[in-house]
Amino acid sequence: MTRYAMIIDLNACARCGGCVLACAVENIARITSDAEMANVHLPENAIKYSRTRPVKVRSGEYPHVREEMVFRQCLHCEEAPCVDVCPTGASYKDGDGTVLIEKDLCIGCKYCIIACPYGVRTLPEEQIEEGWVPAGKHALMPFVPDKCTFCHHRKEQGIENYKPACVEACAFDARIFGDLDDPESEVSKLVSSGAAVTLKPELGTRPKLFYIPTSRLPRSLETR
Amino acid sequence: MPPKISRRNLLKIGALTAVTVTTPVTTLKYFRKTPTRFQEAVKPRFIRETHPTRCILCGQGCPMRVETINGIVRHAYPNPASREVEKYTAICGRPQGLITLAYNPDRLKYPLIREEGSKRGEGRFRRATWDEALDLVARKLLEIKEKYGPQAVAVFVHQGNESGAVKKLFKIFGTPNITKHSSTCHTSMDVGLYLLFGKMFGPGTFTNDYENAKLVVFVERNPYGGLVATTWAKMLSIGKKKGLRIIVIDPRFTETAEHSDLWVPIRPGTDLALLLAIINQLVRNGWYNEEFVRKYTNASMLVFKDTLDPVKLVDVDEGFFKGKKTYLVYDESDGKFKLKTSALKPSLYYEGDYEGRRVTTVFNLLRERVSQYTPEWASGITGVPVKVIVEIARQLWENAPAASIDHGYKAVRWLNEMRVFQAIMMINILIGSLGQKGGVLWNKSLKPSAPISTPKHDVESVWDYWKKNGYPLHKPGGTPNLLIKSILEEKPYPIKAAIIWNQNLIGHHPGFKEISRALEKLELVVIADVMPNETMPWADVVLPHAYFFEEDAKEAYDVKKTPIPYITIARKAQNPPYEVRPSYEILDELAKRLLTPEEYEKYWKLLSLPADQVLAKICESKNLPYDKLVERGSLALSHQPKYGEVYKSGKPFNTVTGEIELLSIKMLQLYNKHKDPLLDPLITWVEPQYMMYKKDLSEDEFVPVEGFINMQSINTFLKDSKLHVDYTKYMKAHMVWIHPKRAERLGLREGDWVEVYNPRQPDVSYKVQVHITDSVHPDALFGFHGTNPGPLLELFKKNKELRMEYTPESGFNTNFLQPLEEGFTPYWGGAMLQDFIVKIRRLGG
Repeated sequence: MTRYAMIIDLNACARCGGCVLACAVENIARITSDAEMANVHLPENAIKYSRTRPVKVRSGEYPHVREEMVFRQCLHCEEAPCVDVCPTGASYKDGDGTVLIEKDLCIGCKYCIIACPYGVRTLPEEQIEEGWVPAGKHALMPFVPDKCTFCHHRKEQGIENYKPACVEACAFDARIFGDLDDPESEVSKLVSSGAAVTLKPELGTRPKLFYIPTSRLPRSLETR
Repeated sequence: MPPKISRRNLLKIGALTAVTVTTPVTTLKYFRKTPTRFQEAVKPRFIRETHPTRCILCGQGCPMRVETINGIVRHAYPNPASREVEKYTAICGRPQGLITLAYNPDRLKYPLIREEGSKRGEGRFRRATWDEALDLVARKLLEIKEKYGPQAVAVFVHQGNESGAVKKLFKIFGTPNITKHSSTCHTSMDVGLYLLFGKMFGPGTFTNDYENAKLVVFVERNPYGGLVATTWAKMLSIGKKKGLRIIVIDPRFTETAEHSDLWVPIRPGTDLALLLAIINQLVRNGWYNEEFVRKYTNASMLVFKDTLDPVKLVDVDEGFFKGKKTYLVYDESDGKFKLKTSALKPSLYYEGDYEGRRVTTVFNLLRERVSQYTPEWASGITGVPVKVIVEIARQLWENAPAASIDHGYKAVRWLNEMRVFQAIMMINILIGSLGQKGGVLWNKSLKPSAPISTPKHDVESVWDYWKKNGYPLHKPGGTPNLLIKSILEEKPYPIKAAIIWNQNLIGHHPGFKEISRALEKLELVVIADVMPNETMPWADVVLPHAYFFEEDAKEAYDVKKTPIPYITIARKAQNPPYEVRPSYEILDELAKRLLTPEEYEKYWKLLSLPADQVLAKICESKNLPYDKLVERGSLALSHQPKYGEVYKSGKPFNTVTGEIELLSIKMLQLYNKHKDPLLDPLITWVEPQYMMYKKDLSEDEFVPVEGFINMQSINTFLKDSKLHVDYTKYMKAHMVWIHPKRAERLGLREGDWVEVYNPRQPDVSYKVQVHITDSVHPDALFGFHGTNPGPLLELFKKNKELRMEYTPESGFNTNFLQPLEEGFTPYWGGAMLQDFIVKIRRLGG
């Protein structure tokens, strides 16, 4: 069996935003090239719909402020609440563990958006402009909930050993993608070593997106 | 502000209402109807290709590969051929948005000529043909050359693959007045390092060995988030995995601070005080590498106590220091005065009489000088607690030589910046980490540019003139401010034309009013660029050239910021759209028109050949493997840096003594002439300029502090690029950051609009939105540089030919707020981009 998983190594991440833009170009932008010139269509704020979005988590007060950028995106839970609540079966878990949406089956009830304990699904509320050429069946569609698909369309295109666009774009090896069921893969090694952690494990959703937190001294230098 | 209802918004509202009032069934119908194309277009054929190039969106020049799908740029990846030197290879988020650059509807599409009858600054243009535009430029330039001489043409170039070729063309044309942008970038660092090393070393000279370091301290630097930093971010990223610890000293909580063990918020412009206190602690507590200091610096040099003149300077005739001068020291091994070259153990601490005059060592002078800069003193100025200052000094010493203060990059913020960088490198020298593994390494370069010669012309340059008139320390060809001064004051002669190539004088340079006045004085202003920029309304002719990934560059390039010899080339990934032409083609057309056939044949010919042939010639002249380079796109000639190399390339430094000079002999001579404490040959405290205006800030007064968001750049490529702008806005980087305490007193709330202005030049102002956060020092008004065209916003929003549709309504750029004369230091003419006080005024209800 294959169970795809991703690790975001915040310790290696340079906060460059390359993954966010790569995702927007891959999944959100529509490119037409009927004339000799290409046209790139994007929603009003494309980053809002990027399937991985930067968020600054803050703690402490001046001058002991701490801020940390993390990325919000679908966690591809093994026990996915969004799949459980979907009345039409539009939200489903693929054979490789990826949580996907069959957009044609969606009735727009938004139950999945409410059910997601991580609040990562977005709802595009913009009209599609004439002339948009969709990238594939997992592409952004107006009024249908949207989320990370681990760039499943790349797999469906038959790309061997495929990687999601964000992973390919990361020059800092901060995004690691692989098969959790393969004990030799980097992801399963990092997960079993305990270096990679997930969000809200107590919910029992068993997410397949993990984070390696930024390492720093346990005590600040000042208190020495 | 009432919400704006644009056509797009209206559509959106309409669509939303449709969803709320109708049943899901109708929604389904809607989808069944429109996305039929969706079904049909699912199986397009994808032809994927990748092309090696270097990314110059920010000037770093990272080797990368651009992927095209069916001939259209899509993604970008670090060049996989560089995996073997992985730690020096990375790209950031900027090139991931190449597609919205290439197909930006606002990009310059065809040549423009200023509308007849319109004034410079109005920005009214008409479309022209290439021949018309080029003929006009050439005719005017030749007329000016004929009437006033070639030196009446000023050339401003910035980054760009072709910048070397632009300089060469105009050198052949005959003008010496060609300048880069250094004085708004790193000039003050160059001068600070000149004091130590006798040569103006720029920021590309060093690499801190983050990979092997235990501790790095960042002062005014943010390699994780800022500009020209990706290679260093990569090394940091690798270092972090190995346990590197980071201290960040900055008025703002930066991206680097996210990775840090300690963030030290500091009052803007006072880093020097903190650094001086660190030196104080190192010297006072014996936290310095005595052997290193004795061997590599002139700390043991005996000088007369009253004049600071070296007691004796003697020519060295042989050995390593041949051609340099050695000096008198006191040899501790036998208690005798000797020349350093023959002393066994030159004393760092001797003080006594020599031939009836009081003499002492340079080290004693330094110790005496910094004794006043106690941590308590520094704490009062910087607001940093005493124990933190002492702790930073201790940590640096305890982890040396695998500890250092980062060499820095941008160095044109404050009047005292030159001293900041002198102090930073002096600390690295005192703890003995220069050249050591985990410390600060020297970068390597091969300079693989096209091997063409340029004729020597016997014309006085404006640089010669300013060297003799007030700017003895300026770097010729790196101070556009002095060239602007020459245009305004007609000194030493009138200048009549400006060629502005990939340089945005008005947006990039303090002195908005003076620069626009200077441009209005000229007979011809030509601008070549890719996107509209703030200077363009003042142009007579605008030449649109290709993006770097749309043409084959006729050069190879050093991957500059690496301690290994490492080069890259830049190849075309796609054709330039519209009527845009490759830069080298435009330059060649100009060369044909401007040069005599003999000049063209003798000097320029090589650059008129196809890129492959030029590259082959470069490889031949530098003894590089052409096939390998072209196949891979980048090539590292060694994979590991040389550790333990204190002298750059194993040669003596350019100082008088050939050593690192803790008391600069060249500077001493200058100091004796001018008697200005700014030119002190020893390290010293210099107050920032804004403190000279006013010691305490009023309620509505702030010190402007700028940074770079990692999706924007110095040039205008990204200012109006949809994806980059969206990201900028998403991160609230188009707003100014204000500390909550200050905001509360001013009654400001998140998202409020304020007007920013400099009370010393109140007639220039612009609107910005406020973001309230305690990630910033209360004295600072922090903004990311140049996210929009500031006071020129309206002009660009409505202009037909120079349109910036996507650029945010809010943006921060200190350059517009400063008068030219107050924006640059005396003697070396480095910019002081933040060294003034701004006021803010609340707008609206």
